[in-house]
Amino acid sequence: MRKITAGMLVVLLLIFALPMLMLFAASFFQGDLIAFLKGETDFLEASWQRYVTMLDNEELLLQLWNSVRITLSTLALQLPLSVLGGLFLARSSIRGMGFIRVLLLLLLLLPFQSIMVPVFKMSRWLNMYDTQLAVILMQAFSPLGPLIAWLLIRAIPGEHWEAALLDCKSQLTIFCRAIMPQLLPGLAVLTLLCFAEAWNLVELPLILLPDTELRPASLMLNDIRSGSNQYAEGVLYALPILILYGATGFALRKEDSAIM
Amino acid sequence: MKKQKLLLIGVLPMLGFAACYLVPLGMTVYYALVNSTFDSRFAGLGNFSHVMENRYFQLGIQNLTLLGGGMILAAMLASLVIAPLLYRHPKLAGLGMAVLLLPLLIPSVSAVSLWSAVFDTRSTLAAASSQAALITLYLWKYAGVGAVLLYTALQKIPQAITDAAALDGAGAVRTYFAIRLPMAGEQLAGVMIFLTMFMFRCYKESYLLFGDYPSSSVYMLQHYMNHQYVKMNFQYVAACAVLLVLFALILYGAAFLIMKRRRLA
Repeated sequence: MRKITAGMLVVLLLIFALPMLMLFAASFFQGDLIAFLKGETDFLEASWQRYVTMLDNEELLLQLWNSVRITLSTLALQLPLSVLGGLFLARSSIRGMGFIRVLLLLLLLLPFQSIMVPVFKMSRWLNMYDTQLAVILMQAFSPLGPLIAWLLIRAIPGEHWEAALLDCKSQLTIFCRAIMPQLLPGLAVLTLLCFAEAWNLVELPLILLPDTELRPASLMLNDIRSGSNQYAEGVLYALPILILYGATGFALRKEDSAIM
Repeated sequence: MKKQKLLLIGVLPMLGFAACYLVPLGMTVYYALVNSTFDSRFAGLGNFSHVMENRYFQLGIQNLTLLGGGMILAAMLASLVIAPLLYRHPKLAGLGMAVLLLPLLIPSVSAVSLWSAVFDTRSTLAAASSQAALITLYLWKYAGVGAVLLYTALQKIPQAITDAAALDGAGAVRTYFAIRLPMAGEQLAGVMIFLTMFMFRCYKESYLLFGDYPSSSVYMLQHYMNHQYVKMNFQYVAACAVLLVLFALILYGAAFLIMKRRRLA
């Protein structure tokens, strides 16, 4: 029975891994691997050519640059704001804190379309329509960051704060020196999630950036992709996430083994 | 930390959140009740009755309910199958979680480059093929995360309880359905909330797969809203948004209620 269930698990995991493996494999062939597997074509030849020709596509490079700019600017704002928001949610004892947390959660759960029109209107009033800044600000103030940071800070026992208070009177110093190091593994995961969200934006730029030259590749790759290179472009766009995912996993494992 | 200092720390993120999300949500409700965003005369429920009579709205809400419900159900079933397998094989669990969590992070546009070739979404599609493309993409991206969440919930159940059941002669399957799952009921509701959230967000994948005008079998409420937005019928978009929020609140409310009852139990 144990062998059967292990076999089932391996098969299921392979099914989940298959699309990424297929995408990688297809990007290294001249001719369409998927069409070949479907029996629609006979031509298939292993080659790096797709990656070479892809990098000649200036439009693609511009959209990639837009993605990098939007994502990194968002992260630069979102991470400190998330920590501050999380600290406020976890440590403040003002009335109505529970209500604020529920509001954050609710707005995280609602689809973007529920605020689409006012976001468009407000961006026009503030002269931010058709600027990447509007997208960056909307994403930086997303409720996801403060909620995750709140969960991380809440998990630190109160005694750690009190013990640190005996050594140092400055609350800010305590937070930076005693609490932050404990938050680092969680913050690595938060960075990964925020990066993935910002790297994968579709609806916000669709509404706020009518100028296609300002749009990120997450929205435009479909339109600009040059037929035969679609798999290589897909891999290229997933690559930063894969690297960050691997690095975060590696860092967390190292942290775990250091504790043990 | 002193109360005033903490308030100062929280001012910027909370004001930003209010300006970017809370105020717009209030404005949506306001726009849904006026003639148009350029003519702020009170329209009562006129905008709501207008959109509810529209056949594309009806198609959108029908697909959102049936297709969305189907996607959540399929992902939930997949999670229910995968989670106990991970629990039973702890040596494979680390690798398993890494594989299952990765699709959530992979940009939709990368996944779509494969899906559009496999399901041929660029050509005129048969209804079943469009639905299959959307459902499989949703399952691939989100079912794994549901399974990991459920797996972590199963890990928290004390071993002594399941050992006692095994002593009484309960098999692995019986123990899972009669003991582990009911005990993980709260987390199960959490998985449901998570899957529902991504069901509402899967317009992103649908847009990338089929563009602005999908076949009627995958036409969702969000497509209708986008079309009204392009026509600048903002009052109708707002009315749809209010209905969408109410629909979402009913689903989330039910899941939260289950969570609360399980916690009390």
